[in-house]
This record gives sequence, structure tokens and C-alpha cells, in this order.
Amino acid sequence: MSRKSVPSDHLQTAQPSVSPDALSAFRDAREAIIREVVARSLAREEEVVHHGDEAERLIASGIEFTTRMLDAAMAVGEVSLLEDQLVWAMDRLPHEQVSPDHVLHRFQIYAEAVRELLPGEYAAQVNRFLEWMIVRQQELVQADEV
Amino acid sequence: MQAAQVGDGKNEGIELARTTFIDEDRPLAELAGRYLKVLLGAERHLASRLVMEAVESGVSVKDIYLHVFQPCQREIGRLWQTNQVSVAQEHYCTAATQLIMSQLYPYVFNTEKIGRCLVAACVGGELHEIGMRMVADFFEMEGWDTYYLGANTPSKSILQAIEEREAHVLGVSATITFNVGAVADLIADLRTSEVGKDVRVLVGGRPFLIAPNLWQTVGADGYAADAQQAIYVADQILM
Repeated sequence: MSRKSVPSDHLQTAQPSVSPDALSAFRDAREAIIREVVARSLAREEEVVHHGDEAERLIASGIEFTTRMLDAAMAVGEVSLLEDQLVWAMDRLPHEQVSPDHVLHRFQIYAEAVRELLPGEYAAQVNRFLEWMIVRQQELVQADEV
Repeated sequence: MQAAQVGDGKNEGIELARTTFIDEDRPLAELAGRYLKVLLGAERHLASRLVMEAVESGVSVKDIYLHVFQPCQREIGRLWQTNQVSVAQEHYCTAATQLIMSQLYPYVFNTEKIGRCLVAACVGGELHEIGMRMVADFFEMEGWDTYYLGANTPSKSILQAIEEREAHVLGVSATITFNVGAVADLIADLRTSEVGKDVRVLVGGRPFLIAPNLWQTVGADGYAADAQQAIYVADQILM
């Protein structure tokens, strides 16, 4: 079977890890993080206006999904699980009128919110996963444009 | 006991879903293509007839599962992912395949029993059940007693079933990544329970395919990529 492959330069690097305390802090702050990311994503009107009345529900649903995936990947220390989801999203989300660029921006907003809402030491651990997602999403966006 | 895994154990890279899972170089590819076409045309009676005629002409039920149902289910998922079919079509095709699997049960439930029992389930929150059902049917065809619990099963009910059936192996599946935690929790509960001490755990589903060592991380005894491999791994982990 011939399928288009998008290689990653940084998949082979050491897996980031999150301490139990950092994961617990992330879970405690989960609702606040989601609320903040949704609000800031909605503030970028040019990226959501086409969703009309559905914008808040769609963005909230996407951020909730991202949070569950991030939590699962951190809990087992596997960025490959996130990689799979990012690639899946590249195929699926454009059909929901969510562009890969918008996904990238929301990951960046997510990392900001984590930095602001978690204690510094814990935020740094969580954001190693998010930074990985941001870099990989940038690679996928660039590959998709070629 | 030695933990077991079948497959090459490598992450072969992530690929975008651009091409079909109905690979013409694979066995029964023509049948799989025709089967998919009639299902997408909402003609499940024709899909059923195709499968039953193939089995009556000598194609094994296992080959139907591995080379028709499995690639067609994956292809239907890919078609939804790339917006070529609707959710309704995806659900119709899956329901039709489950119906046709039931029609094959006279062939599935006719083997001599070997004195082993499998409890098979999808963890709480997991709705993708057809893969686990195929695994249970393969074990049944190998002479195991199987107790298949289906989708979205609470951990407490799974542990209860293991105790009541005196299971040798628990087969547990997660398709959606965020259900991996539920698999780990279930196995942890099993390991600390009286009933779970002698039970071996076999896991499957996409997250375990993507992350080759994840089965160990969640505390399982083995992982298999499909129903045929699951039989082999179960034998290995019971040695």
C-alpha cells in the first residue's frame, strides 16, 4: 500500500515525561485551562466567524478532546499517541472547517494558558508535550502546503 | 511467565490516510471490494449473500474476518475520516457487518472445547467494539469458551465476569487514545484482586499499535495487532 508519509525529525528524541504531581496539578486545573483556551480562541474572530452560532460549541469540543488526548499521552509518557492524533486531525478537521493553521494557533494558546495557570515547574513539564505538538503541527502544516 | 508481543515492534511512521485499505495484493481483495461496494450502496442483503456464498464455497470464516471484514472496516473509517462517507453510512456498514458476523455463528460455534476461557470486553467509555468481537470469535473457533461483554463495560462488571467464568485470559480493547487510562486502571484493579492473580491480560486497539511498548506500560501480559495474532499471544502468555 502506498500512503503519503510525513517524516518527523524529532520523533526519535527522548520522550518527555510528566511527574505525578504535575499531572495531578494539570488535572486539577483542567476546567480552568479549557475555559481560558476556548475564550482566547474565540477572541480570534477571523478564525471562528465562519462557524456562526456553533463556534463556541465546536471550539470547546475540540479543546476538550485535545485535553483528554494530552492527559492520556502524559499519563503513559507516549508522544506517539499525540502524533497519531495530529495526523488524523490533518485529514479530518478541514472537513469540519477547522484549518491546520487554526489548530496550531490553539495549541499555542493552550501552552500560554498552561504557563499562566499552573505553577512554573509543573507548567514546564506539561508544556514539553505541548511544545512537541506545536513543532509537529508546524511540520505537518508545512508538508501539507507543499 | 514471559510477556509476549506479535508484530515487528516498530513504529513505522505515521501516514496520512490517502489511499485505500482494500489492497489488491491481499487475499480475497476482490471479495472485499465487492463487499464494501454493496455495503456503501446500502445493500446489506447482497453483502450477506456474498459472504455466505464464499463460506459455502470453502473460504474459511477466519479468512473472511481477516481479509474482508477487517480491511473493509478500516476502509470505512478512512472514508469517514476523509469525508467521503457520513457518520450514518459508517454506522450502517458496521451494523451490517456485525449482523453478517452473527449469520456466520453456525460456523463459529462448532469447535470442540479445549478447556480455556476468555473474557473479552471494551473498557468503559469505549464504543468501538467490532475488533474485540472478532477476537472473541477467533478464540471461539479455536475451542475456547468465550464470554464477550461488548462495548463500554464497567471495570467492576469485567472483574465479576472473570470470577464467574473462571477466565484464563482477559482480552481488553481501546480504540480511542484517551481510553488507555481506563485499560491501565482495569488491569491495576485486576492485579490487586483475589480473582485476578492467575488471569493473563491481552490488550489490543489502535493506541497499542501506535506505541509498541504501551502494553507493558499499562501492565498487560501481551499485545496483538489482530485476531489471529491474539490466539498465538494467548497461547504464549499461558505457557
